[in-house]
Amino acid sequence: MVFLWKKQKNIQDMIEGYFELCDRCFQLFQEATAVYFEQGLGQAFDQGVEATHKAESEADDQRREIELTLYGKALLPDSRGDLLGLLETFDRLPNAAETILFAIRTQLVVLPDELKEAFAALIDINVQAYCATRKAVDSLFHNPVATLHTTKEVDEKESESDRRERALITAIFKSDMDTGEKLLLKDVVILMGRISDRAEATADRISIVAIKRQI
Amino acid sequence: MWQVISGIFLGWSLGSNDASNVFGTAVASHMVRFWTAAILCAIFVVLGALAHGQEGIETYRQMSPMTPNLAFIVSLAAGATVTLMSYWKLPVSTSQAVVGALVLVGALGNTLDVSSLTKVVLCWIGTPIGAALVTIILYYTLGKLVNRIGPSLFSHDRWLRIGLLVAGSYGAYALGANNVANVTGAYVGPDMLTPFTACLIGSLAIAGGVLTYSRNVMMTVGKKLVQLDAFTAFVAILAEAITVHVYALVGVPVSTSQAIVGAVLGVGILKGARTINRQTLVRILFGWTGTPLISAALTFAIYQIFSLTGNL
Repeated sequence: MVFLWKKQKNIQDMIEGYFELCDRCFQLFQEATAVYFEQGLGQAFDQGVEATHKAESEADDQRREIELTLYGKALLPDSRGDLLGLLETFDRLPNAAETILFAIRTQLVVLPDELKEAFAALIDINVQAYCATRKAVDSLFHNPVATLHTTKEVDEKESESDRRERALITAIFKSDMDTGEKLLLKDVVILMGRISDRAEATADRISIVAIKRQI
Repeated sequence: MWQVISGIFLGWSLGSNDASNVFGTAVASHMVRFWTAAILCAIFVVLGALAHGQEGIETYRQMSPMTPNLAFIVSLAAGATVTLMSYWKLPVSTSQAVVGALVLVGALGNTLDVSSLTKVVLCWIGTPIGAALVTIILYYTLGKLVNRIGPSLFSHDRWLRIGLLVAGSYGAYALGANNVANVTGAYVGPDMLTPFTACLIGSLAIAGGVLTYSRNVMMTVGKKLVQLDAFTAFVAILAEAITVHVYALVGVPVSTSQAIVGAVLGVGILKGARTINRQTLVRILFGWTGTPLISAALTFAIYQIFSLTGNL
């Protein structure tokens, strides 16, 4: 019996470690985007991209290790399935952040000065959506009664992100840029908004896991 | 003394069939490993039989007086019936098999005590209904408690796992206390065994059946009737254990199979009748009605052989 508890504690620690790696990834992502908005493309931004990529890879490795341990039957099948599903959905968040940075770097995206603030605001609301999702995860693990309240916050951030995306795309197409540039920027906007879309999907899953445990 | 062999065979067949009733839901849904369940079940069956088994033995002794050869016939017929049902993966009532055999022997020898029989048959009807009611009550009260505490995902998991093991062990204890009378109760009448020895031999035989041939029926109870989650599995096992334990205290050997099927159906009622697999339910009900009849028919055949060879 003690062996089982140790195994469970071990998984709990691994999962906490995974979420800390995701947090680190998002912190680096935010720093990299801040550099991009201030200095544009360049060495400093490249370093930020690499650092974010490294953190994302580490989180991936940790997730795979957790999955293998979970398949070792450390928890009840129901909890195991819920956790595996949650990790899989959550993992798409740091992945979305990394994809944005790679897209900017590989497609040499240059933002017009008049739209920089709106892009920064879009990144900001999407990072907030991530933070709200993290709060919901924490709540699920430590204070499940409050989980449904925290997942609502993610929904609100997602709606706000949608609103900002639409405004930004409108502004892009109203500008004097050539059509190719407009389409490129529109794609970047959609990539940025994907963080909150995925945050919302993760929050939905968290809500289901919490509701399943109410009798 | 050789006649006790068929009692040991009956005990083995009871263990192989009835272990499913206490740990089937947890094992079939992979919440508890088979060997963890089987070992705990074997230990607690013996403890339950030694602590409370003697009350049920008294009831059997009153129902139909036995000679050693009659006890042999009854146990052999009942054991063969239950083994056949285990082979068909059906959770059946060993009590019904034994009572079917006892009634036939009593009728053939004009020694049947109808009042004891009525008490037993009434309990057969009361057991599944009682277990279903206990399930519904436990589901609501424990559910309310869980919702109020609001345990985290990990503590929820941990407490349910403990709950499944504790409720299963309690169920095994109640199984031993209640059902050992089915196995060796018939040998106490003809003074072949003392009540204590009967409980010891019977429970060890049941434990043997649990450890060697119980996996198949566990799957029928745990997976094929109603899909259970960890909490409902825990509630069903606990309700079954409480129901059977109450009957053990009253001294009426009832069927753990009927109790767990009643409890699982209670879950089905709570979750909506559509969740119940009707095909499996019909198979189980066939097992219940067929068991006393098959057992009585086998008893009749063996009785005739003994009668023709002048061994009665």
